[in-house]
Amino acid sequence: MSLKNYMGTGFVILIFVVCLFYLFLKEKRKTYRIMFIYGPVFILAVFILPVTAKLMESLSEESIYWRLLWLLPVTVVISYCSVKLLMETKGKMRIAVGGALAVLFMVSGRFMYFNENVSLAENIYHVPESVRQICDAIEYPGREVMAVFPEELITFVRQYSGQVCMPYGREIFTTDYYIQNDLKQAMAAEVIDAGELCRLSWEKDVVYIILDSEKEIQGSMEENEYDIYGTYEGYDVYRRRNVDLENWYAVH
Amino acid sequence: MIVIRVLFLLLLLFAAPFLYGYMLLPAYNKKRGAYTVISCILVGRIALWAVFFICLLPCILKGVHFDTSVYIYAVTAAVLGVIMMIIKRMTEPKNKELKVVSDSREPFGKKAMWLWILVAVIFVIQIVLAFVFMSPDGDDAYFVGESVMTVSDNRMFMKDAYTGYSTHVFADIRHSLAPFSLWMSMIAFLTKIDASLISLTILPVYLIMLAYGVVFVTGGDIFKKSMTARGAFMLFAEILILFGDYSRYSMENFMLLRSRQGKAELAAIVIPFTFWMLLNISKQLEKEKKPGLKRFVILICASATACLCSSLGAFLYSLFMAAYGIIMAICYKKLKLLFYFGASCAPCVMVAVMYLIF
Repeated sequence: MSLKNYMGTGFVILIFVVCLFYLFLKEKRKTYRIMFIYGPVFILAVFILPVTAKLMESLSEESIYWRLLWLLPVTVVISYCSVKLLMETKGKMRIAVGGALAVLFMVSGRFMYFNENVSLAENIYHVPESVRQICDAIEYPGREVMAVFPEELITFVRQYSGQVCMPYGREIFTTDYYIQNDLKQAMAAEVIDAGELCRLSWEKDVVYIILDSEKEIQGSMEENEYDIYGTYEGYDVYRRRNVDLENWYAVH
Repeated sequence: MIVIRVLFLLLLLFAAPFLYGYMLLPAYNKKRGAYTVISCILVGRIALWAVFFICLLPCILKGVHFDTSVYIYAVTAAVLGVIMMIIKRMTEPKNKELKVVSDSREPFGKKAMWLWILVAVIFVIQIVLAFVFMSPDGDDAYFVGESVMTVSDNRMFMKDAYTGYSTHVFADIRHSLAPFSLWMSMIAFLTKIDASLISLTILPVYLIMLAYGVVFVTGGDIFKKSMTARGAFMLFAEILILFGDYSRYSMENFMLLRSRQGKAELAAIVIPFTFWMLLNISKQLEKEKKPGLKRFVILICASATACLCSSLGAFLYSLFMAAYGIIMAICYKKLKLLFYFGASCAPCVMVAVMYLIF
């Protein structure tokens, strides 16, 4: 499974293996045989050994056995092999082979910036604009503030501001086991129960509650002592009434 | 004010590594131009990262404040730099720096020029794309969060990066012993530029440039005599990297989309850099020359940097050195190489022992 994860579509690794064979037949210089053939083959052999997998899994809780394949000089070997192939051709044939190889590499992989996780940066900080505006609005000079955010914003908050704390973070969504967290459940509900959310938030000393403006709320946030503070990029920010941040101190 | 910050940033990212590398590189060859400058920057960067790791680790474990730790590092780096300069002046003859490489290289013709223009254009496009596009990753919540929090709180690993709640350095020893994110904090602290901007926008671009620099010097050593071959090598490498999204786990994916994470530096810079150094060493051995003390020092620095970048760095780096060490020892019939390469993994062994203890 680890090799499959690393290989992805598989074509680039196939090209790499073909290059190893080609160099094995054609490369005569000792240094390059050591660096481009023997080394990678040794590393692949170690990767395949069952004892290596057991050792790596004992070093970390996550399955990161595939990281051993980072030791393979894939880019260097393929590039070197390609140039070596070009050097054996001349004139227009060389240009044709070079062009064919370039196209082969392009179709074997995928353009990095077509990745589904890549998007146009919304600001120079490379965080969602909503996070930037909300954090700028709720930060208080000289102290931290506790705020609870919708799930889609959680990973970005503390990348932008070290002053904005949260009652739970990304860890709650990434562990293998389920973590019971009533506040998280209240935030994730289809219809927000204002009373329940405000009660659970205040138990965690949350001063600001951030909700998607489109989210349906049952009950009133104001009646539960959280007043609307502002709306930023499609998110409503509610602030706990009568909290004097200059003099209020909560232990975390 | 912003101009001074930018100048200081350039000093930290380019000038300081260049000076360090200039003193550490085995031979500074004036005639090799860009290759030599980039080699100096790379070697110096690795060395400075190693010094950073060695200075910060005891500070982290002792709970020293972040600003004090940075000053300790800055003074240590400066003192080491002066010592290296003195040693260099005393041990190397004056005119060795100006030694001209034998001009058996092919002349830089039209073909080479067009190739290199294409290489430069793709490189610039790459850098612009890295500025213009964002590629958020879940792990950034930890690494960038830790980096930003360290600057604002002035404490290291004493708070949970995800929430801001108090914790202890030994609560997450795995990340405490691989504090690459603190290097980003240090850059932000010294330049007074926003830590978020440094970690998410500026340094990823710099690190991508370093990664390409390693490819550049590797190609420069393989195809010493032909600029056309080097250009073709760089072009193929750029295409492979730019189209390297065949897997979420590939080195290329980490290099371009997650370059602010330490493990990306391990995959895209440290291990390829070590490959380049081993290539150099192998060439020396083939000519029946010794690898030399300077290369040994550089390898030790790379070993420490591997540990700085990732908790798995110690294991991966040691395995890499073991693989090539054994092969070279057999091929060149020099068993002493095993000790040479083994000794260069000393930082990895030290970190491995610390993992076991803590």
